[in-house]
Amino acid sequence: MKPARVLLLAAVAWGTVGATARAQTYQTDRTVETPQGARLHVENHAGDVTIRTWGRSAVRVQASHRPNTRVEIQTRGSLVQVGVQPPGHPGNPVSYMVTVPTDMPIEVDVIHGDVDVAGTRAPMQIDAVHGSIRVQGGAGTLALASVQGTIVVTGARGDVKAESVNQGIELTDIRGDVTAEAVNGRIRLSGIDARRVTGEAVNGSVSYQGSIRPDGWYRFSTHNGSIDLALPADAAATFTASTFNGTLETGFPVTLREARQGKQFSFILGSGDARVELESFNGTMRIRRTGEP
Amino acid sequence: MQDGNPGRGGSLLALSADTSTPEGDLKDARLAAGGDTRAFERLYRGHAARVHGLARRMVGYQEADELTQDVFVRAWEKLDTFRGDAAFGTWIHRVAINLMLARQQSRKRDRQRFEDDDARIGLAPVRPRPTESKVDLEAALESLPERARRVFVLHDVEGYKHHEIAEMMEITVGTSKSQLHRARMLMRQQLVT
Amino acid sequence: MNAHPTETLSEYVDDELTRAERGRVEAHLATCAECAGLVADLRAVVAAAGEVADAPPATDLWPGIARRIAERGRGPEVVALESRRGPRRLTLSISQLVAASLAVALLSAAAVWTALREPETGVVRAPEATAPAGTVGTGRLVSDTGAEPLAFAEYEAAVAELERILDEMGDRIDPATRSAFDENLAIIDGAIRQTRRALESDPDDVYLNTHLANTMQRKIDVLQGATRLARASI
Repeated sequence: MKPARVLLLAAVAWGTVGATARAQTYQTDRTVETPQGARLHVENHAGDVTIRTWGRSAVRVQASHRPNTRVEIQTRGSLVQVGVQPPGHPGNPVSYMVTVPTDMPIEVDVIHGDVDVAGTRAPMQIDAVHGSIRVQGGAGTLALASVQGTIVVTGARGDVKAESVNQGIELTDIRGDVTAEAVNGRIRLSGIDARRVTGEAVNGSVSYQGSIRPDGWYRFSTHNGSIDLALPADAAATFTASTFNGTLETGFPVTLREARQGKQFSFILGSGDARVELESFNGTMRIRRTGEP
Repeated sequence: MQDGNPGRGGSLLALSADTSTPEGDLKDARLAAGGDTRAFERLYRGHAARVHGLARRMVGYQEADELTQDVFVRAWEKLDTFRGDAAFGTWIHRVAINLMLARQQSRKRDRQRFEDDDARIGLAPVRPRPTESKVDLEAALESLPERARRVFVLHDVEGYKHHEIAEMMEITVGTSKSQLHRARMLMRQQLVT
Repeated sequence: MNAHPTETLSEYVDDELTRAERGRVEAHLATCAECAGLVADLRAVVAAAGEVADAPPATDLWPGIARRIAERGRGPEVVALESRRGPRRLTLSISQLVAASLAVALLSAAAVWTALREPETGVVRAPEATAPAGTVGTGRLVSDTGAEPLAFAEYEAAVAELERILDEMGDRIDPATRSAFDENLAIIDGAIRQTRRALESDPDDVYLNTHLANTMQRKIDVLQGATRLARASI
């Protein structure tokens, strides 16, 4: 249940919401100049947080909330802290639209609400409990965690660490090391160009489409689920695939060397420089060429 | 851990804290809780050396200043929770450790597999030259892996017991002991040989 | 044990061994100059740590502090979600103990990998016969009662403790979140059960052992996340 959504229309329609606001919806719109190197921290108990960028050295906070709630923007040294007094709770949601400089590092903590960040070229750390996290862009390190929400990232130019407990993770077009962990959700990694990739699920499939670099280490693991790797035709790696009840299929012409009674397979493609590990306790592991089914 | 300055068997050399006493601290803490910043400044003067030393040993020289400030600001905010059943020095020491551990952990989102623990996370050794014996120990500390360093600082320097460290760092007593041993072995290489 | 009891020497120095253990260590020290020297070195390290002196920061930090507390004024602080996050990792000795017990096995796995990288040999060295899971080097991982490897007992203790905390504070998390956690913990439990059952027929299998350790650690991570959330909820 997302009360914030019930109160507000799309986060984009700020102007109209103000004009047609019901008695309890109040608008704050404040802009604060920020020094070079400042970072943003938004804490929100209930309500969506949307972050976009602009060219100014300033942070603009537009918030929709109840009249008895005061939005606070505090600048402490290099930290710009955004929150409310009295502290938020599900009956008192606040929806934010924050506009920041493109290179401003971002930290967001939300309990009930979705987080949507686009256009940044900066590190970020986002924690959500009941809410999805959607990021377009990002650089440096992106650390994203959600309990009950999907995580979707596209176009990051930096390392991505994504953890979701009860939903899936989808990372696309990432240039940087990737760690994706889910308990009950599917992990889909595509367009990845990384030296180190880890995709681990307990109850969910893991799929990967991306480069295999000679100095790379790629590890995919699931307990209940399949693994699907789509690799370039010239991929050069040493593969180890382990399973208890599952099977291995490969679309590359290789000679499989079974190490232990059908439970562990190893083979080499090309020079075997990279290291690829697959583990599925119960499921199918497939390795194929990109573009082939 | 006894009241008064926690732990160390050796003498505590606090250069600017000669007038700091537990009774005086309690009075100042009560005044500061009511908004008296002068009283809080007295508390700062009395305990800054200790907090800063801890900060240096836990997070390194570069971040120690900012972290020390954060500790005192946090202490200011939480003054109404200081009830005076422990000495102020003990209390602010605990505030400092909780803050430092929370900061350090929240920055690192990597899962620490056992192999990562072996990576030496050296701190940037940019600091002025203090007295001789401090150079040895603090320089050696900077080269320890992070978790081992924390346990060593908390146990051997600050005097906490393993069960206290285990609670603070959310590890088991067994881990605390093995990290301590590891740290001592590494320190031994640097200090004793 | 004919090897040096190196791992227990810190506990010896701290006087934390049982009388029986202490006796064994002292008997060893009486005949082993190397370990006796190590004990002396460890005592020297502890002494050096105890003599650390504090000096005030080179810069006077008070002006910065004064400014910040002036800004804050006297009022309830904005809910600090960083205290919600808290210390992140319960890095159990389980990971280390199980990992240590796998050190021998994993060396074998590495050996497999290395062998594969020599394409000319055409032979895969099977993972060497591993030491039984539960022993490592000079340490003792098997508990004195011998029933289960100590590693698993420690894991269960940590899990029980976290579950107890969660039960006590469980009503602080909203029911939907709580049931999401419970569902996922059940999923992980299922995976742990299956893996343990598989290990019964193949106790030395490297993959199964690593997989079990990883899945146990995952359960600890999720429990920690839940308790942290409960602690921080108003």
